[in-house]
Amino acid sequence: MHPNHGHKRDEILEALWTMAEDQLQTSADLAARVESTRLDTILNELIAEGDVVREGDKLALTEKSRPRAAQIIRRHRLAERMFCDLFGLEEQSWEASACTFEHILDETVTQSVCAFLGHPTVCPHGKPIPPGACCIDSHKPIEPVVVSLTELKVGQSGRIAYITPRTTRRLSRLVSYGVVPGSEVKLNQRYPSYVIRIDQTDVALETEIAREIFVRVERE
Amino acid sequence: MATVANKPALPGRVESQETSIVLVGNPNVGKSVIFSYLTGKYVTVSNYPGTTVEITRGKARKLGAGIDVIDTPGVQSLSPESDDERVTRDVLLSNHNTTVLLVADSKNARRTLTLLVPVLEMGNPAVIALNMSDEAKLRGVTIDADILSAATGIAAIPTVAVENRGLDKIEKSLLHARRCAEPVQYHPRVEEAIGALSPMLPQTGVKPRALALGVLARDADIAAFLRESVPKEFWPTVEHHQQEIRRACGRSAAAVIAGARRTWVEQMAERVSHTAAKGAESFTDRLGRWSMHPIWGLPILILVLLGVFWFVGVFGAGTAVDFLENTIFGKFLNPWATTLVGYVPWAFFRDLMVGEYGVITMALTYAFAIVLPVVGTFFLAFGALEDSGYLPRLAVMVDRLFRAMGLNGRAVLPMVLGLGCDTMATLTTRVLDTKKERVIVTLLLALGVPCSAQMGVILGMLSGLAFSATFIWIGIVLGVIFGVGLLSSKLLKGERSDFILEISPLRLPKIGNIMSKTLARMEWYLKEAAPLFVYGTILLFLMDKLHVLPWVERASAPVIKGLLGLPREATQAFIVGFLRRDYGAAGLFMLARNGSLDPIQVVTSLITITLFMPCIANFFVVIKEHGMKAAILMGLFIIPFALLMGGAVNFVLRGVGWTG
Repeated sequence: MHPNHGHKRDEILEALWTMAEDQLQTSADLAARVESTRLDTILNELIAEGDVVREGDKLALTEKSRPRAAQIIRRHRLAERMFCDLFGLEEQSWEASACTFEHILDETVTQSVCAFLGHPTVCPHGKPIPPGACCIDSHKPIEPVVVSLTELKVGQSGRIAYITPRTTRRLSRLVSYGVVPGSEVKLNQRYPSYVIRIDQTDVALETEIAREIFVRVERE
Repeated sequence: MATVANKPALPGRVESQETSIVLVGNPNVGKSVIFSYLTGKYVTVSNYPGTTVEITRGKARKLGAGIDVIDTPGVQSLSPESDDERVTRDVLLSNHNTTVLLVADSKNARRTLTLLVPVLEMGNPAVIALNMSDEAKLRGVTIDADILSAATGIAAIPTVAVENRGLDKIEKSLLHARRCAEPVQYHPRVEEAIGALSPMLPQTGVKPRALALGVLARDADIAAFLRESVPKEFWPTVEHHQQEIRRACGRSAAAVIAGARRTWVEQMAERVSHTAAKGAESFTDRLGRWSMHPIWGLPILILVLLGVFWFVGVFGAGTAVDFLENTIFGKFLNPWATTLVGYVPWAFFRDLMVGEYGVITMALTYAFAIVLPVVGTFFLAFGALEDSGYLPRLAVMVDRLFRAMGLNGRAVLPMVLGLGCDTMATLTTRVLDTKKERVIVTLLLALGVPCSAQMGVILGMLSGLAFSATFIWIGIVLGVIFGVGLLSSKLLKGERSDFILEISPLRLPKIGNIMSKTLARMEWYLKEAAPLFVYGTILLFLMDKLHVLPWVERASAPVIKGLLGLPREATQAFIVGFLRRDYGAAGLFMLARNGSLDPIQVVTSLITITLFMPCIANFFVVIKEHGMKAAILMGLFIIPFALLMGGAVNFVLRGVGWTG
């Protein structure tokens, strides 16, 4: 493999993965997704190495390359989630960074990010995130550091990591009660409604809203 | 900065050159108590977020002539999320020479500071009342008024408004309230945009800086407010700067501005407030938690209901009514009036005053002897519940049930207040967020929630029967409320709003506050109700004199006798029931007491009158809140529904041979 082709090779594998999700498989579709003057050369290399199969005009990943493609997609989508949920950035500002991140995150960092985000299953666009070892190994998980408020035990406290409200109206109402990232929150009750204490304010929330609040749990 | 002389009035702006003081604060922090102190005028004060739904104006008592004091609905922020918040911000936008009194909950420095930023940016002179400092102290929270004062440049004074502590100091400092320098410094690119936009903005009651920040953050209301009064090139300039800010900071201008404010709030909160290590949980805190516990909450709810029932149903509707009706009116007032009127030579006038349908013997006796004690005791009980802080906990308990009806727990306040007076409750439906919720609650109030006057009479009648009668009545009324709510939540378009509700701390109610609140409500009620009692009686009197009454009784016999199985005389009750449901119920009460109704007739008539339109006043309020069409549709549904339901009960009870 030519090291300087590394990024482009990853991009082609990634494109073939997302094409499969969109039910596309021709080389024209691939050309629309990957910009490169040397696309054909690199593609032929991949075919020669058994990473891609070509049948007529149809292209597909192979058993050999699929795990690698899954890892790239996983890193990309985890990065998207991180930029979107954790930093509250808007799409145009994180799309480029997510593309950079997918190439530089190593497995340990990826696992921590995944655990920190609570093993998310979909990216901000709603596409599935391929599970990593840390997610599949759900019996002995690296206990997620960030969980939804609904996962907290009564009496447990945590610090709000991020909130993903469905409407801006809901967001601003939560913010005005002090439900903002960084605030410390204690779960006082789950039923009939969630009741949390933020600072000195008790706030009752319905389940759907509590589910959208993610807290970093304090370890004992 | 461009100063434009004699600018024409801005759209939607109330011109006011007088000095005014505007009270602003989070919900349920004591604005209304301070308002009462400053003006000497009573407004309803309670321990439930969102009691003040309109602005209240008064003249300052001591501060000097010509100074208006304005109480506003509690807000979470000044970027309007609901009508209440819009009301409050519009007051600030539209008045010149306004001093802001920011009423703060001392326990919650962050929320106070969040609200303080936009207030200071608007540039009004301001004073902060750090209210409920006693509660803060109990919870180990200290807030340093001096540091806050020094950091913001405006006076900050600790108060305990319900005990009048610190309010004299507030009054004094309002006279020399200071303006503050801009609290928050934004990203240089944002500051540049403010600098570029400010000269293009008109002179209003608030600083151009606040308006510039508003348009940059895409505040639609500020945009609408400015629409007519800015030069054409203003909006392209705004857009240009929004893009520049996005380029420089990687986030939208709104996010950059909100972020800078949040940082300022966090830093300031760290500096001014301090929470001591928590001591043991106090008893009221624990009780507060139990009262919304899924298991312990129920016995507490039942205890509360029994307490209210005993006070209103047994003491109010029993003991107090007996005393007023039989002793005060029966032994004294009515005989005196009869003797007095006896000197008047015209028989017509005598009959009008003290006859069978006499204004004194019927209307005033009903109003003061039967209805007043019941309403009075209910408002006392409701006032105690409100001030204790129990109602938000009740909202938590019923949230899931209410959700089936397209509502959420927040609707519990209007529904419970409806047990006092449906008309008053219909006005408070404004605390609900969506139109759908307001319509559903208005309909359910008009249809199924009996007001206290009616309830007193109803309980009085039911107490004479077997317990199963009460059970049938409650079951059917609750079933109707739930069923109709369920159905209308499916039929009406629109959304249910989020259930996010602050749970105010449990407090021991202050007798003085409950008393003055009850008196204010009773006064309102009497002004509303007593005239209608008199009109209703005069209507009956005239119908009787003109011999229309027997005719109407005959005409409605198929419904009254055929469908409902009631004696002819019950017709009168339903005629006045059109004016006031409780007056109608009082008529039935008399019939039952005379032994003219058997148990089935009692239950049938009670269910019918409970489901009737509450009263003319309620109808007018529905028109006012939702328009003529909605009001008429509701009436067209409610009246036939009430009669059919009564008929069904009559037939079923007779069919199964229930004997009470």
